[in-house]
Amino acid sequence: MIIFYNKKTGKIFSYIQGRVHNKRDLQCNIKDSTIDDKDIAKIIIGYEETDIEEKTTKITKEKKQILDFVIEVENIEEYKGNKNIKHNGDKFDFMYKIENGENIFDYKINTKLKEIDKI
Amino acid sequence: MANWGMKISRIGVDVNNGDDKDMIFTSKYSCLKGSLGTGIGGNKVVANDGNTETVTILHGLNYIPMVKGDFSFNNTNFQILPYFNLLGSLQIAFNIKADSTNVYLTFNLLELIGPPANYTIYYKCFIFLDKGKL
Repeated sequence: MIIFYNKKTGKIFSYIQGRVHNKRDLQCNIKDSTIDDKDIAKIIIGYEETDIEEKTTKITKEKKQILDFVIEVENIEEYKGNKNIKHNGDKFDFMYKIENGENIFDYKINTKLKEIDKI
Repeated sequence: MANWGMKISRIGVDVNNGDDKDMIFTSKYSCLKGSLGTGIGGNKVVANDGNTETVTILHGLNYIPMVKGDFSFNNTNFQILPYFNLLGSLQIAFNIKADSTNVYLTFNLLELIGPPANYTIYYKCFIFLDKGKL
């Protein structure tokens, strides 16, 4: 999620939805005719895709019946995936709230602490 | 070498010799590949004085994308853009347009009889990637 807000007042005026953003999403800018361009700021909450490949390990567990015993087998799979950069992980709860129906315009950005407060 | 890799035809159309326009899908032409983010939303305060207020979205795609916009007065019931209407004495002219750099959402309210007032307009916008062509 990319949130656009007024730097002076902290008022949120627009946002781009999504949890993972690529270069195209991050290059996008939103302007409002009643707000000076220099007063517009944005905050990214979520992941940024990169072209950097990294080795990732995926662990899955599976229960198997062997004779009278039930055993748990751990499968470790290594694969190469794109590295995603995490932005503002401490604000993910806020992102989930908005995805689940809360109104983003009931919140504003605390411009001093860079936190998101309910109005 | 063929200029297509995969085709899906409509019911009743032979996929081997049907026209491109009768295909549900053909890899010969580009198809919409999703949207910027999973949607864009926002709100805008608009006075009923007849001045046009604009939201400009710099998409950076270098082509004119297909776009869809909706608006609402209460952030619940959305209507599709463009929207031109006279509700009582309130003249409403809301529009959406795009060029190869920006998408523009314009909002114009004109109160013909009553007092000045401000309205909060909520908007949603989808900017689709890669418009198809037939």
